[in-house]
Amino acid sequence: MDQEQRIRLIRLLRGVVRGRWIIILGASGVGIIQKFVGASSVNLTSNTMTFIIVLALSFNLTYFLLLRKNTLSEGTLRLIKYAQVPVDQIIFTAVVYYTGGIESLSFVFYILPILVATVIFRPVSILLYSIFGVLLYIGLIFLEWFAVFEHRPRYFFDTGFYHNAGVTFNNSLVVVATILLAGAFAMFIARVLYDREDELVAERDKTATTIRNLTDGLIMADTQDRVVLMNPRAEELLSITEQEWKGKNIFKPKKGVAKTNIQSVYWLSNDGKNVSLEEVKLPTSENVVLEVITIPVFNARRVREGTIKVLHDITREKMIDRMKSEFISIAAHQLRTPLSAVKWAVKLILDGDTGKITPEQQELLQKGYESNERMISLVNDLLDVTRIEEGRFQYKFSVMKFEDLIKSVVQEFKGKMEEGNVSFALHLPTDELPPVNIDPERMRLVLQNIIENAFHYTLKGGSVELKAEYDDASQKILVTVKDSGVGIPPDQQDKIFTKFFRAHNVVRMGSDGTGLGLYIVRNIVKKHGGDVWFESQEGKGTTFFFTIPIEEKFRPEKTTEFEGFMETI
Amino acid sequence: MDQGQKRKILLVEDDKFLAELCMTKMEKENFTVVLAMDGEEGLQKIDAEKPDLILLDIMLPGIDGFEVLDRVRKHSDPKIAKTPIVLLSNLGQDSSVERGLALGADDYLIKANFTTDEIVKKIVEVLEKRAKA
Repeated sequence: MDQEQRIRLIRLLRGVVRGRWIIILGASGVGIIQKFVGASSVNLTSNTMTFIIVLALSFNLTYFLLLRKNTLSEGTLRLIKYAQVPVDQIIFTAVVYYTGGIESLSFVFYILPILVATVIFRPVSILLYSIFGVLLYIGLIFLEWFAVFEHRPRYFFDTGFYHNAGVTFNNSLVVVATILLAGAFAMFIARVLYDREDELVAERDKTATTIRNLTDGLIMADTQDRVVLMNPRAEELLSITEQEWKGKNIFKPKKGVAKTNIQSVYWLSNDGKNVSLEEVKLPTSENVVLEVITIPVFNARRVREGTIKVLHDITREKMIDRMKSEFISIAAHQLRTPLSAVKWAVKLILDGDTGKITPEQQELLQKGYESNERMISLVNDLLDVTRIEEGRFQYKFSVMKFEDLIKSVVQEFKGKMEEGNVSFALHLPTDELPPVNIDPERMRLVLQNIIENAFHYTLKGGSVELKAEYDDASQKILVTVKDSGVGIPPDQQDKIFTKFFRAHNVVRMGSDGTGLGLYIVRNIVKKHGGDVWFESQEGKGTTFFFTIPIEEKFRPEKTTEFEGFMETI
Repeated sequence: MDQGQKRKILLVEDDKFLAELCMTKMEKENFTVVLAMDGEEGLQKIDAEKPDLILLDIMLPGIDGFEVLDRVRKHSDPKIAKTPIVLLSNLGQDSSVERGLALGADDYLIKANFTTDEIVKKIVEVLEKRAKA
């Protein structure tokens, strides 16, 4: 018998015991009234009645006390269970005897143990107990007939039932039939009850089995933050045993006290309304990284019932990511060496350091040089991307005037402006822009990238405009770069900021571009707490916008390390 | 330092071709260049030649550039210990840059991002900055 079955049986038996108090009360009441009226059960002495009542009460009290014990052995529990029906039947048989035997009406009491059997036992057992009851009654009538037990008349007058074969047979038949029919009917009721219970158990077991076999960890906690359920996988991931979590409240970790695994998983930020996803490195384990999905649970009446956490082991994925990044890093560095060699060698020739070269040679070498520069650019972008992905793309913020940065970047493009036959206009506000706290190196990349794109995708005769202004309402600097270039087709627009993406219409232009620039730009702008977006019409041009908040507080502080998160609370 | 004299640069670089290209440009700009092909040779030449500036690659056979940098900065001769050092490498990780600057390098250049011209300009910048200090 497992723990759960045991608990259910004890609860059931306690219920039966409680019911029996009422039966004893009722039957005793009937007996006392009869004694008082004095017309029936004349041979039931007060002593006998008292004795029977006390006997019944003693049994029930014994059951009651035993069932309260925490250390009840399984053997004793079984004994109590099997005693419930026959003990009552025997006592009722005694009552039948003392209230007239064959003349007694107390046989009706035999129905009650059948009811008890119905709630405790399976159909077959119910039938067996019914038969036992029948045998007890028949046995009594028999022994009474043969005077083994002296017949105790029910009334002061003689009814003539005793030793009347016909009456004895008929009356006994009625009693036997009633008991057996009650038993048979009880069997059907029990079957229905059991089927219903089996269905519920099967349903619950199906759910329990599913949860138990999930390859992800599952934790359920109630509104008091007590763990209600944790599947084996969760226990495995958090290195925790059932004793440690069952029904325990998961207290918020205190500053200065080392967090436990379950604390680091449970107390992740969640607004209590929406599902959230976080990555957590377990404090007690070197490498284990978990993806934790937090789901607030609401019942059908939209009342909060608790929380569910799903734990997904991404240690391997993280490791693969790391290896991939390392690989790209190493490859990129290895690529840079021959690229530097070509760069320097060609530049040397172009600078005339190895002697005079013809204009034709100049042109060819220049093209070669530029091509090489593009490769160097790609390698740098690749390295930036891996750094962003690994979270190693560090920022150094300092306060500065944004106009200075803009002017410096615009200066770099002077050459392009002069040669490309694309006009450029810079619009800065007459009032100075308020100073911003930015990482100048990264912001430079952003400006370079966007302006570069503007020039790049604008054909001869087109124009590029850069405007910077301050919006007091949102406390942000807004930079706008507008070109009259080829534009971005509408079906390509939602992928613009993804890695390696280059829209179809420009790929065909045969021009360079790694497709990484905007991915990096977006990352940098977001890290500054700003936003980047664009508006574009194919064939007409594109306008890129990005914002930078003045206030530092808009910058996202979120890190995925739990350590870092806890310090911000 | 004598303004009229040619300045001496020690270049510690294991890639012969790159070293030659660098040397060619630097000699054109009126620097004397001494070449070392690995860390050990570099350290020896520092003691022997007492250069005005060291251009130091990081990926070297044997002891690496960081090790060389560290030893120079810990050199018993205070003049040598203060030699301006510019790290020249294709390792661009923030951690490498930080480490280099923490160990006492004056600057950190990524070869692929600078032409030899620009490298020379940087050398001049570092030397001028040091002269003022």
